[in-house]
Amino acid sequence: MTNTPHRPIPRFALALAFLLVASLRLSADPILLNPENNTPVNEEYLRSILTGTERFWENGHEVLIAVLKNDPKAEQALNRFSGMTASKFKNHWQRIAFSGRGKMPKQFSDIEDLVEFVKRNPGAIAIVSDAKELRGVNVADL
Amino acid sequence: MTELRQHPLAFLLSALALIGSALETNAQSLSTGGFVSVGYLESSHYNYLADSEKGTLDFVEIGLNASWTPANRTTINGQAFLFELGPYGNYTPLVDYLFVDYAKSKELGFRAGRIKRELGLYTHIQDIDIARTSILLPHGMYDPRYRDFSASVDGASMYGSFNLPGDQRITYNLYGGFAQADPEGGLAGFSLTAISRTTIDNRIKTLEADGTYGAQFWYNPNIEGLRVGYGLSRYFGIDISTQGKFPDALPDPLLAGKELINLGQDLTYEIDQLSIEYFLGNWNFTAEYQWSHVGPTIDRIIGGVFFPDTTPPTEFEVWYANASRRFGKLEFGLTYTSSPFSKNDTNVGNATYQKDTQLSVRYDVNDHWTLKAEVHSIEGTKRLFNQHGQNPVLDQDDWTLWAAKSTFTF
Repeated sequence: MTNTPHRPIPRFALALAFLLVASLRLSADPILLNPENNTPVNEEYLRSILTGTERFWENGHEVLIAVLKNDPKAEQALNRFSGMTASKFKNHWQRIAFSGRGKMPKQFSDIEDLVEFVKRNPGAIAIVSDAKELRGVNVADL
Repeated sequence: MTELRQHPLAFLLSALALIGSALETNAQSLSTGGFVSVGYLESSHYNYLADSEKGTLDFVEIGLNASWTPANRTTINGQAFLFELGPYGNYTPLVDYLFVDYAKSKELGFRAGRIKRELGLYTHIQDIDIARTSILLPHGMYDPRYRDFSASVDGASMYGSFNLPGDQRITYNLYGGFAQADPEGGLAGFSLTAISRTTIDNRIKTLEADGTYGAQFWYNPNIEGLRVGYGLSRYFGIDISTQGKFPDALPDPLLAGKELINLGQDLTYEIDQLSIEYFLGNWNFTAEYQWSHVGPTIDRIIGGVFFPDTTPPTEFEVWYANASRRFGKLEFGLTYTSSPFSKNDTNVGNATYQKDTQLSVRYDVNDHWTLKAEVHSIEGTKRLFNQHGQNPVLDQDDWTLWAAKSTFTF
């Protein structure tokens, strides 16, 4: 029986793996929730919320969607999770809101205003492109 | 409910009181919105919806809505609405909807009050033109003149959504209640049109509708952007009587100068509708097929003599297909609508059908302002009314309708 020599993993491979994982982590889309809201949110649940199928959280609070305008990355994430383009998303919610079946997502140009909205409303949810500097809200990455 | 229906201002005041108390209670739970829409219609021949042959701005819609969440899983939603469409609407404020909504879960919710009637893709949002590419919805299926009895129901509904294996979903909405019928509305216009070209001094003698119920089901297969639907709507206990007089100069002495009463009693109106909608990137495809029938029959009284109607119930059919494509702020749509068939129709010639090829363009100036324009190339005259003598002679098969609209939402 011969001993198979243990081949060391090249350093560059480890570095590559780290960068890959790190980049995956960086490309995750942060979901902002009110600090009181500890509901676990997965992609399927998020889609139900963004399409208006799920209108209340498990604790009974009404879902209030906040959308960040003029942020292509946040818009891209919204499109991915909702399965709709930006115009379709707006159109979809106009159909819901103007027939009394839900509240129109609130649009914000300033991320600080959006965060303040999430802090103030127990049922609020928002998708942003970067949550590193944000304080006072629950952040869940998907 | 009847009293409330007759006093929309009472409804409005109630809604405002609710909004006021909501503001005092919890500003975060209140959401408000609205829209103001002004349009223009012009046609090459005939008057469609309004006095369109001369060109008209008598095409206005204004809505103001509020949604308040007073408790967990409970919302109160209301919309005040007024419109002007030729002889319809007359800027009279009305309550489009005002209901309490309790969502026990995603699978089961209840609404009670004045609720929106859901049938197909657009019945419950027929007034919301910003939710589509076109200005006018397919004729014969979504007629804005019929909004008095098609848009809302005073009653209750049950709704929900179930996930099925493999990322599929079923959504349902069941409702029942009382229908509204306005003597100045579209149902009255349709009924008067039936006698308007043979008698004079025509008027509605009776117009009442008792109950209505219906259901809408949507199936979302595991295909992104696709849904398929079936809806049904039933009206019962409809009494419509029209009264007119044959002209004295009529050659037939048995009819000349005699009074005519068309007597529709305890009628039923049954509608079934299949729908499909598919969003693919910036494309949107829709198609719907509706079939309906009115029964049993409408008897006649001519000069005091009763003539029972022996013809079978009238059946109607209408379908359309639409494709639209968005390019940034611009959106183009092409729609073909056909009402090719009316079994046992009492109309003749070009009044038995209507086919419409419609090209629409929409431009979203900004988040709150939308401009639209469209042209309709139409064959047939089936959807032309004449209750005010606006289309006395149907002498041309082909005609064109242009429409433009500016909508501001907030």
